[in-house]
Order: sequence, then C-alpha cells, then structure tokens
Amino acid sequence: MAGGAGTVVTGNSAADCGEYNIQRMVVLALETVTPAGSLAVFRDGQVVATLGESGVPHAARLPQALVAWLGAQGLRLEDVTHLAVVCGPGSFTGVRIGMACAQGLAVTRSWPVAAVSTLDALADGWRVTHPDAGVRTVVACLDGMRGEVFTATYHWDGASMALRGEPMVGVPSPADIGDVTAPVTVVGSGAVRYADVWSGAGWEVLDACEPLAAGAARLAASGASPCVTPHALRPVYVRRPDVELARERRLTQA
Amino acid sequence: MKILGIETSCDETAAAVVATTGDAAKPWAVRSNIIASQTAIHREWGGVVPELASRQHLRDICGVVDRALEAAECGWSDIDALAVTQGPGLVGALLVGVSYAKAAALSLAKPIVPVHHLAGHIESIWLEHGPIPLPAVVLVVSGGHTSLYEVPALGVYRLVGRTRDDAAGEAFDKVARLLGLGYPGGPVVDRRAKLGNDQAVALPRPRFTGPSRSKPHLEGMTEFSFSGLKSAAVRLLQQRQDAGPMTDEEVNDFCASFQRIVVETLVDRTFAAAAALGARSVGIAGGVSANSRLRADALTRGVAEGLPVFVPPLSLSTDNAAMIAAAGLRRLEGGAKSALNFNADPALPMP
Repeated sequence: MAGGAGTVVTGNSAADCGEYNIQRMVVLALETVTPAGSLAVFRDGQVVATLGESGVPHAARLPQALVAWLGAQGLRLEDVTHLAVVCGPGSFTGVRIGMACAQGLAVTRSWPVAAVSTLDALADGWRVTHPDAGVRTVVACLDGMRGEVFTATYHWDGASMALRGEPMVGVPSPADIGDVTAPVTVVGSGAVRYADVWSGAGWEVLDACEPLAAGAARLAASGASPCVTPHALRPVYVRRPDVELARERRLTQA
Repeated sequence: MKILGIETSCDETAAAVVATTGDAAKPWAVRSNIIASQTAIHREWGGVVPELASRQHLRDICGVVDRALEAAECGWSDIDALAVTQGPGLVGALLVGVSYAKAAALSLAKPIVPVHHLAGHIESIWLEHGPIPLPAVVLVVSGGHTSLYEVPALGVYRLVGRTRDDAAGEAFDKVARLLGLGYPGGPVVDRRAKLGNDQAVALPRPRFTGPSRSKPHLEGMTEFSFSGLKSAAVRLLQQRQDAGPMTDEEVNDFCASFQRIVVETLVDRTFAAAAALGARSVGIAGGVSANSRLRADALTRGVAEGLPVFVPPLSLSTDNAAMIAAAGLRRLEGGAKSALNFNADPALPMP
C-alpha cells in the first residue's frame, strides 16, 4: 500500500473513459492484495499511482498512509468523489484489510465504491501501457502461493478488452487456460514466477505493468467496474476456504 | 460522550453505542448493542473456523454498525469516539474490525482507542453495575479464556492466574460434541444439566502435579486446568458408548456431573484468590458466565463468604461491543491518547 516508492503516471484521456461525469470525478483507489499494495488517484483523465512499502503491514499503515499520500497529491478526503478498492483475488487477509478500510471510509463519507477485480486491474495495466499492441489473448496471472496462480483470460481486439470466462485458481498450466488467440501475453506476478511454464508454450511473459490501484482507479472512473454502496461490496476470493475443499475431498472419497 | 464500540475478535460481529450519563452511581449506559452471531455457520465444523469467520465479519460489519447507530438513535456525527478490539483473538477476524474502525475514525476525525478483549469482558461488570468495591477479583471465563484478574483500581487489570491448557468453554464444547449435543456446547450442557443428577458420574477434579506458575502467596489458588477433566470425560463416554447409545437420562446426568466439577473448580479458585488478595468483591465475566449454575453457585458462595458477587447480564456476557465501548471509555477517561498506527494483535498482552 501507499507510502514510499516512486509515483507512476499512466495516461488516459477523458474521452477513453465512457459516459461518467468524468470531468468532476476524483477517484481514490486502494489495493492491498499484494505485499506492497498500491494507491492511485484518477482526476482530469490522468491516473497517478504509487506502490507501498512491502515491509510494513497494510493494517498498521492504513488509513493514515493513504491520507498522507493523498495530501502529497494536493488532495484532501473532501476532494474525493468515488472510491475504488481492489477486491481480489489475492491474499485473503489483504483483500479484507483493503475492503474493510474502504467500507469504513465510504460509510462515513457516503462515497460510492467500486470493487475492482485484481485481474481486471492487471489486464487494464497492460492495455494502457501497450496501446499499439495487436489482436491477442491476454492472461492476467497473479501468484496465488501454494504452487497455484489466479488467472483470468481476456481477448484484446486492438481497441478493447473482453473477459472470457471466469477467473480461476489452479496450478500454472497453459493447457488449463482454454481457447486462446495467438499471440498470447501473460502478465503479473504469477507470470513471472512461473515464466518457464508460460514461455514453454511460446507465450510472452510480463510483470505487472503498473501499480494495481492505477487500473482500479481507471476502471472505476470509466464505469467498467460499477460503483455500489459500501454495504454491497463483496470480495472475489476465487479460492474457496480450506475447510470446504477438505469436506469436498472427503465426500468425493466416500 | 457517545462512543461506538466494534468487536470482531472471534465469531460475533458486534457494534454498540455506549454513552456517559454523568451519574456517578451508573456512569455509563448502553444505547445499543447489536450482535450478528456466526454460530450457525460454524456449527457444522464443531468449532470456529477462522477463515469462515473472517469472511463473514467483512460481509456483516457495515450492516451491524448501521443497526447499532440506528438503535441508539444517532448518526455518525453524534459519535464522539470509537473503540475497537485489537486482540487477542483470530487475526483475520480482528483485522476486519480494526481496519474498518480506523478508517471510520480517520474519516470522521474522531479519537479511536484499541481495546484488549478481556479488558472489555472485565468492564462489562462496571457497565452493568457501576462502581463495585475495590480491590476486586474478576474471573474471565469463555470458550477461549479462563483467567483471573485482580482489579486494584479502575482500569488496572493484574493477571493473577489462568488455565494451563484448555479454557473452560472449550471443555463444554468437547463434551457436548461427544454427547452429540451440537455446537456451541455451553448452553445445551447447561440446559441438560438442569434435568440430571450432578453426583451420578464420577469425574476427577483438576489437580496440579507440575511446578506452579502462580506467585508464591497464591500457589494452588489461581491456576486452572481442564484438559485432564476433558480427557477423563472422553474416556468415560467412549467406554459407555461402546456398550450402546446413552439414554436421555444418562446424558442429563453426565452433563450435570461434568458441569458441577467445572463450576466448583471455577468458584473455588476464584474465592480462594479473592481471600488471598483481600478482595472486597468478586466479578465473573465472559461467555461461560452465562452458565446458570456458575451464576447461582457464585452468588451463593458470595453470600456465605460475605463478598458481593457481580455478574453482567446475559446480553453482556458473550462477546459484544458494548463491553468494548466501555473499555474504550475507561481508557479515554484514564487519559489514553488516540492513535491510528496500531494493528490487530492476536496475542495482545493485557496492558
């Protein structure tokens, strides 16, 4: 989450961002699903984002680090009109810290909140940093620990991204990704960790192209990730609790 | 002053508003006390599953806080401070309450104080009864804790003894599970015990053979152990159940006998510690303080020994946020400074 590392600016003109009343929107985005976490602000068609310091627990530095960073951007909480939070998949605990923090801020300020998928944010980061890329399949891939990755598959037609199917969790395997349109780019921490698996299939491997909060801010501003009340925020765990998986195994074996 | 308390340390998502009254005899009043219990979710597993608990806290917290404010007939702008359980407890569960409360406090520019869960249980006695004679000895007994505290002054809690192994509530859960009575075990064992003979089954009273961890003047008085009793109960039940299903009467007798031993142990140790420490009152708090026999036996012993006994009402016995709000008020009244840089601590020591 917020705090330290360099600030990243990724561009998008207001015209790219749909029909929202985007000129007056100031979207604050929060991401705590990765060890470092990230923060971003969308205003005037631009996203400014920063990575946090991975050595400090999210729950210890939030929300004060968020306000401090916002201040460094010349903004106060009063200036924010919308909140976005990365809602998973990722670290279960990290997901909940970010979402509970978002709820605490949003209920007291009556902010609308967008819950943005980690994988959507990853894919959108690739999109804005590769504006000239041709038609392909993009696989957003987050390291899920336990030898597994969280993945979601998107079709990029040269102008827009479309999610194909549902996000999945499983061992890294190109064969499990389903139908793809070559070339294929796999992006994110799960791409890098299992680079030999993906590159063995001839797929391009990239790390995350920007802090995840940047994509969350953009997707919330564009309306691609719609805003809800904080009460209706729901995490996207993808991986089920261990006790349920164990019960399923027992029932299968019985 | 109105303080919003938030509690998510285990399997209850709770929020409450407590207000100061200006009345020295009853300085705090509960304006609302909302609890969303997860018992039904964890019943299938026979105990609290941390990941399921954490998921449910996140789902419930906004609605629970809304209801607490609504029931107290106030809005966010009427809240003067927040208190939240920092620990001990399940870390994933604690983090939901801590993250939510810190964000709300910062957004509202209101002070926030982190609270020790057991300090909350102790303060539930003051919340209900107002000032009680000091020094007091307070037994905190629940599914996760069995501890004795000396309270020499308001807001000062000195640990004088605790269980070496299982909490009393855990033992109730285990026995209930073996008897096929479901989860949680405390309430159902209490109900069935009322129908049984408490002398019918010979169960051992907890004894200590290892070195004492108590201070020398409290040796043998303040420590608890329930694992031996639990193991003995398990052995007896397995032997009996090998011979066929137990009758309802046998189950009732087993519950009554088991409960008698647990309650006698708790009451004996508490009053022994009170006598050794020169306490002028005794308190009993925590989920197991809802046990009807523990309440009755403690009150009877208090009358016999001339020591007043204070127990919170049932609504403040199990985990709740009114007690957290009360402990927060105690800390603020004691000059605690608000700070946002705290984190959840599953093994938080008592301050």
